Amino acid sequence: MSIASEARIIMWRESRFLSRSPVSIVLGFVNPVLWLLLFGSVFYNLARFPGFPAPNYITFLVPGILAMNAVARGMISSFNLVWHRHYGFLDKILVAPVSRSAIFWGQLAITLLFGVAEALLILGVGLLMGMQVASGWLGVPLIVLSYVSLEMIFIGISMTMIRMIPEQYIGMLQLLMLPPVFLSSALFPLGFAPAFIRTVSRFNPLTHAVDSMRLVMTEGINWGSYLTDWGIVIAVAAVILFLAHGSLVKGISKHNA
Amino acid sequence: MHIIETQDLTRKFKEHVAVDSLNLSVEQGQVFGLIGPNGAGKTTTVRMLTTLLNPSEGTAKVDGHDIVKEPHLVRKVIGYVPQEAQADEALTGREHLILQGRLYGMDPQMMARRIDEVLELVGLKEDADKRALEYSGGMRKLMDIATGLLHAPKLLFLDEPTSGVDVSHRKRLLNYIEDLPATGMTIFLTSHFLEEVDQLANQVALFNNGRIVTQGTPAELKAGVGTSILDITVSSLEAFPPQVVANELRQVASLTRVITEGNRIKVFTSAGGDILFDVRQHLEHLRVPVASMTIAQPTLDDVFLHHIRREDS
Repeated sequence: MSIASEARIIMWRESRFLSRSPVSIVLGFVNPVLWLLLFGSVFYNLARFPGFPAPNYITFLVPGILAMNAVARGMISSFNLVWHRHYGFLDKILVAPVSRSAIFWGQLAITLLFGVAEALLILGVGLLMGMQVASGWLGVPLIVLSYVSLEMIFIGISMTMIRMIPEQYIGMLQLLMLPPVFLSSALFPLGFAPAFIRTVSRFNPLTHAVDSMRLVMTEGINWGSYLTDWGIVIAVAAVILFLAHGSLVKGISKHNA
Repeated sequence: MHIIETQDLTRKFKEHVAVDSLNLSVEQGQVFGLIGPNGAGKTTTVRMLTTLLNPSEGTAKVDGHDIVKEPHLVRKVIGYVPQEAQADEALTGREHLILQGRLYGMDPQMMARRIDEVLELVGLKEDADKRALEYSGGMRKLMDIATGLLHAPKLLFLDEPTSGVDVSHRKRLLNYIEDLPATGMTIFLTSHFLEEVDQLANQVALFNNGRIVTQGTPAELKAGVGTSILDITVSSLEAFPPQVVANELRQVASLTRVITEGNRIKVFTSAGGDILFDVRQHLEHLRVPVASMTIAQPTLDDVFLHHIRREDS
C-alpha cells in the first residue's frame, strides 16, 4: 500500500471519531464565535484611538481569532492519538502493516482539512459582524494558507507530546495555549504594547501569521510583505513538523517508552 | 519450518529482567501454548514478537523476518488479540472490522464477506452496528478476537483470548480455534486457563521469571510430574497443620513431590497402584485423621504447581 492510501485509513478513523461527536464539533465552532463576540465588544472602542491600524476593531480582530483558533485546534489535535496510545487501542494499528509515517500524515491531513472549514466559518461570521476585506475574495485563499501554515506549527508541537499520558497532555495544553497569543499581535496592535512584548513578539511565528492575514484584510494583496511573513511561518512549521515526525515515529508505541 | 525463532531474546525494564535470554522455536501449523504465573514475562514476549516492543538484547525471527530490522514484513503475517480488550469507543463493532480489513489491504468484497463470517462466529452479529461504547467487557473481547481473525493471518497471537468471555461463547471459540491449524495457521496462545491450553496446544512452554522452566507436549509435561496425583484433606487442622503432615510425607521415598494448597496436600508420585494404600497406612501410623483422599492423573494445573511452587510453601 502507498503511504497516501495508508494515511487515508488513518483519516477515515479520525473522521469517524469527529463525526460521532457532533457536540465537540459544534462546541469547537462556538468557541471562536464566542471570542469574536466577547473581544469584539470589550475592545470595540479601541479602533477610535489615533493610529489604529484597521477600519474597525472586528476587521483587526478576525485574523487574531483565526490565529487563536489555529493554536487551540493544533494543540488539541493529537489528543485522540495520545488517548488511544495510552489505553492501547493504537496497538491494533501498530501491529498492522501500516507505516508509522502514515499515522503522521493522516493525522496532519485530517486536522488541516477541518482547519480549512473552521477558518472559512470564522471568516463568514466576521463578515456578518462587519469585517471588511480590502483584497476582496482574492485574499481568502491567502488567509486560509496562513491559517493552515500556523496550525501546522501547533499540530507539530502536539505530536511531539505523543509520549505523554492524557493528563500530562492536557496540562501542557493549558500551559502552552495562551502565552503565544498574548505575546503576539493577535488581539491588540503591538504599537500599544510595552517594549519587551514588542521584542518578543517579533520572534513569535504567530505575529507573522496574524500580520500576513491582517495585511490582506486592511490593505489588500501585497506579495512582498505577504510572502515575507508567510515564509517565516511555513519555515518554522517545516522544522517543527520534521521534528514531530521523528518523535511520533519513535514514540508512538507506548511499550518502548 | 519454524515460524517463530528467538535467539537469546531479552527484555529489561531498568533493572528488572522481564524476558531472560529466551530461545524458543515454534513450528508452522502448531498451537503453541505459553503458560506461567502473572508477571512471568509472557505478555512482554508477545509484545516483542508482535513488533510493539524492541528487545534489549538478542534477536527473533517471525516467518523468517527479523523483528527489529524488518518489522514491516513481520506485521504482514501476524494477527494480535491483546490481553486487555481494546476498543475505539467512537467506532461500531463493524467499523472496527472495516478498519482492520483496510489496514491489511483486504479486497472490499472479500472483506465484507469475512466480516459477516467473523461476526457470526463470535456472536456479535446483532450488535455489530452499535458503538463499542455500549459493549460490555466480554463483548469487547469477542470483538477483539473477531478483528484478530478477520484477515486470516499466518500467525495469530492470542493473549488470554477467553478471559472475560462467558461459558457458551468460550466453548464455541475454543472449537473454532482448535480447527484453525488445519488451515495452516499457527497460533501463539497464552492463557491462565490451563485446561484450554491442554485442549488446544501441541506444544506448551512453562514460563517463570522470564525463562522457560519446562517445555513439551501436554502429555510429556504431565508425564514429567508423575503418573498420579494424590489429593489429601486432613480433618483436624489444629493438631495436624497441612505443612507438618506434608513434611512427614516427604520422608516417604516413592513420593516425588509434596506441596500444600490451603487445607489440602498434593502428592506427586510415579509409584504403582499400591501407593494410595501406602500413604494411607503411613498417615494412620502417624495418627493423622484423613477427611478425604483421591487419586487422579496429572493435569496441566499440576504441572504448573509442580514447577512454580517452592518446596516449602
